Amino acid sequence: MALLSKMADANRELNYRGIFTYEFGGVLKTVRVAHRVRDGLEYEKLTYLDGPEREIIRQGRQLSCRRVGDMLLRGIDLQFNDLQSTRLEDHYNLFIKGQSRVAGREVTEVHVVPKDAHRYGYAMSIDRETGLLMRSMLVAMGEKNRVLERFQFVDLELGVMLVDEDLMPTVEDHMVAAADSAPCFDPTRAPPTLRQWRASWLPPGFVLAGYQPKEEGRAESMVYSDGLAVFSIFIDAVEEVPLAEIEASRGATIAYATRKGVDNRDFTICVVGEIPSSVAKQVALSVAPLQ
Amino acid sequence: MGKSKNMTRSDLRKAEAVSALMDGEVDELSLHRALRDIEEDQALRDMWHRYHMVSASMKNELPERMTDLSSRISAAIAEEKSPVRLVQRWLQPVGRFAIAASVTVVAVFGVQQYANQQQDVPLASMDASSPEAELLPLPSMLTIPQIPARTVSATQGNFVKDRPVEIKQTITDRETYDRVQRYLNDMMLQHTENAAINTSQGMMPFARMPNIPQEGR
Repeated sequence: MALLSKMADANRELNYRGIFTYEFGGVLKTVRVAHRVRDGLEYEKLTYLDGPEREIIRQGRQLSCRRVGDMLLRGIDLQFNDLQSTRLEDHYNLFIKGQSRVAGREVTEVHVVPKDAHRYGYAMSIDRETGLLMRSMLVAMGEKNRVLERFQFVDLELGVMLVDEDLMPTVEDHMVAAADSAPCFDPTRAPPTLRQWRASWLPPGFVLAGYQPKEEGRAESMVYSDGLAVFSIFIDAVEEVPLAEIEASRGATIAYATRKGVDNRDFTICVVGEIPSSVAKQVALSVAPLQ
Repeated sequence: MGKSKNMTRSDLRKAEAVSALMDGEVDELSLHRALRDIEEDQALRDMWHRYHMVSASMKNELPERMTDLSSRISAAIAEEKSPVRLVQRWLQPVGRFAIAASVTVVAVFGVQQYANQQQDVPLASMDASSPEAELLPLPSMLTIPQIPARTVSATQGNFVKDRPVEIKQTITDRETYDRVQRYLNDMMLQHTENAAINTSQGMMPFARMPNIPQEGR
């Protein structure tokens, strides 16, 4: 657990620049990443190196801000409403599998094996010196385990001096990611209150990590995490899905959408995440209006 | 400096750039480069002057006193926004991705065969001593997926190609299929953002994002 905690810190606190690949089902993407911490704020930039020129910028994320997912990954026992207590090791077994090398750096291989069928497993390679996540494979557990996707650094420079320009967009087609739309975890504060809908069934260990009430042009959404896996629930009044149900996937990300009629109005309920499809379906079907 | 007889390739390029500058056929980057070259190279400066003289005399507007326009252009540009500042204009303080639901997707037919391409890899068998090749999913070298037959250009015009969301259910109606694709893409994008905020993998989840549309097209 200490290893994962160290990893969670390293991914956010280090200054680094590198190139990583992302693969799923025969698709390979190459992405350059720059990460800098200045005055307690994180600055990040992703540049897609193949296909159309694209960049993603994230600026000004508070380093001290830890979210529910962070806390779970750090092995901190979260108490919610005194009803629900959850820890990462309640739901995963961790195995240190030895040493290896990724992008020219010594790494520790860690297998994170789920204890139930509600989540996927991970094969992670964690930098021995710094704790940075150097490689991560998402594995669907079963009689035959399947690797669904793989992130892997192919080149990494640590402790580099990055200047502001390194974190600035250079192509027109870039997006500025939300820096802090999810609240920081504050144990003294009550978790966000759901206003209209709730899922009456959730896979064990997943806790509410974010909530977005319905706003202009966007559906009401909730984010759940068990510390490693994340899924989102979207509830939309617009009749987007003309079928009784839609099951879809791209890479490791699956979506299950269904319609629900409430007071003669149709709503689309969609669960998206890196979780087994059957779990998404079960969550989606349990979503109902709050009484 | 000033050697104008045996032009090197670099000199030639610079001369061409000056020529292009005269003709107003340069982009911003070349403009800066050409002006810098002119500033540094007496031969180019002479050439620049000659061009201006010729140009001006052809138009009967030879100035009374020759001035070096290039330095003035440089000065004018220096006062303008630098390229970095130009880029910064794009940096809107948006709280969320400004992605319209209607422009997030390329809908492509005929690629359902992508499903189940992931190779089977037993996690239990993984250990550090086994060769990497056994651990990793082999790219489907021998069954290279077909290039999507066509991209669907809906109301928004330009879409950027990417693999569509695989939908298990069969949708025969093209319009419906497009709509469902757009919807699912939008949901996946929003989820990706959620995941990037709520996991400690930094921005890695963003790599999952499909190609996004170019803004403002």
